[in-house]
Amino acid sequence: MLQKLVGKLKPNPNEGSILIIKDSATIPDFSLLYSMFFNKAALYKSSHVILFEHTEEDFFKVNKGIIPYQVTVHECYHYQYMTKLQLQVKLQRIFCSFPAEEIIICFDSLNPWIQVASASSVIQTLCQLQNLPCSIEILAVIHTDLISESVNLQFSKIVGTTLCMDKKPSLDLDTSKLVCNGKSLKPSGKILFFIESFLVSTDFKLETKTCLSQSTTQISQQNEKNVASPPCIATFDISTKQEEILQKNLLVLPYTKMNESGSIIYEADYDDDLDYDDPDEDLEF
Amino acid sequence: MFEELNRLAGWSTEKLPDREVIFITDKGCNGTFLLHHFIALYLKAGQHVVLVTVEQSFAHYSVACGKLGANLTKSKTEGKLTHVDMMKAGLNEYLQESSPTDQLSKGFSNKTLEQLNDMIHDLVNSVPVDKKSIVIVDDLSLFLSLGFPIEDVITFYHKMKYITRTKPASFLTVLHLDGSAEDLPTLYPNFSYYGTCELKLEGLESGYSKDVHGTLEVIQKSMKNLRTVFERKVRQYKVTERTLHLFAPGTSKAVL
Repeated sequence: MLQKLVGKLKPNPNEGSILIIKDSATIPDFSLLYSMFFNKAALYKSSHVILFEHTEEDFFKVNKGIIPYQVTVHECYHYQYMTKLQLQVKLQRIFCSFPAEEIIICFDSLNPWIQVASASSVIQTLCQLQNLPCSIEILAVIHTDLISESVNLQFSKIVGTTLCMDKKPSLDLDTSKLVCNGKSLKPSGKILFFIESFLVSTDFKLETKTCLSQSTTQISQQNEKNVASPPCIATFDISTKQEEILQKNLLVLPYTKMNESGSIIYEADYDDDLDYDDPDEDLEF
Repeated sequence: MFEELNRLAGWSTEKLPDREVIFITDKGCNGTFLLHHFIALYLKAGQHVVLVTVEQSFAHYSVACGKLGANLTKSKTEGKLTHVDMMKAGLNEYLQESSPTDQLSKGFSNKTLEQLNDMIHDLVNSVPVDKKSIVIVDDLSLFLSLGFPIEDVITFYHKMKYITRTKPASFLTVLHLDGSAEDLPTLYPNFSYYGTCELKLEGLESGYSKDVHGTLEVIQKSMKNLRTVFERKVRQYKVTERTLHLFAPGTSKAVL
């Protein structure tokens, strides 16, 4: 599945795709990000890298001149010294410099941007980039243990594909490889789940091995709350039609009459021997 | 300084930590004795130390490092050591006094950490190009207890990281994991992610022992074949006034 993501077709204009790689302090990883970026960048006319956590020197040390095509590097390593407005202006200038054609953008980490600006501002900007009138793909890393669960959830709503590396590889796998739990949203609404181990070679080629078989979940657009309805799980039809519901509501049960106080009114028959004396009359309260 | 720790981590007076962000974490014990080691290591190597004291006074470090063979007062006079006294600023804040000398001593404000960062930046810039330096903040997590917002503390930490990448300097601080500050659990992942070396100290689960004071784990991060690799070395330790004894877990002389 990871190999398919690398070779995935370019998105349509105004329908840019976002791929997020989630890692943690115990399993930090940039190899998958760079592998996906360098393999995909060959398909795009314009490739950009925006660096928050690495310097330009680090970046070129990583690719060691292997990449034959031009990658534009934008360094924001000194983000700590910028105010929110200054960073926003700098990023806007970077985004405005993008040509109006096929673009792939790689953020080495979104956490510093979230730290200076805010999660909602970052999400808004990513959505704006997604809607640019050109084919655009965005790859980024998020460190999950540095953001709150609510921010994590906000990102998962706008992201098409999420690759998580925050779970430790199990012991029976080759420990030289990392394990990736992936979730990919297809245009049809299906969500594809997969677990694959991968290894990135020094020339950024990706070797993968499927750990678990893929499973899909169909999202019903009408029922986003995902509530299980009894008729679907029963072997026989217990659903009620509109006419049946109406008749049920009109039915008045016997011995039940509604009055203002809501009490039950009982009309005695001829044979009933009703005693109207107070049974507690002899008690002194 | 502690030779056994140097051997374990691959450091020496000829091979000092280079542009590293080192943080010491302790739980169930006190790891500040490792600060004395680094101060003595850098001074003995003839390099520069910027010591920011928040938890302990300069006199404390002077006495402790004196036992490791480093004269802090003399180094300060010679310009090899610069001391920034944040304890005094805290005291002035508490006593509502202001000193006419420097801005930091007037007490804490919302710009204190920025001013501290600027001061450290200038001090590191003033170090000769051929010299290495280390910036030691004896307890960064104490700023949380002093009322600084966690965002400011994290920003300060990131700025220190930036200094280590742009200058031949390393940064060292301590994080007490059993501290009372609410935001401590949020601070640790930041330290862990952006740090290059963690010295993790834990007290023995069975309690205090005269011969084994706890466990020391050295976690060094490096890049190999595009992957981030952690090199972990675990030892048990016994610390005295002048030495640190390290031994494999369960091999203390008291046990064997």
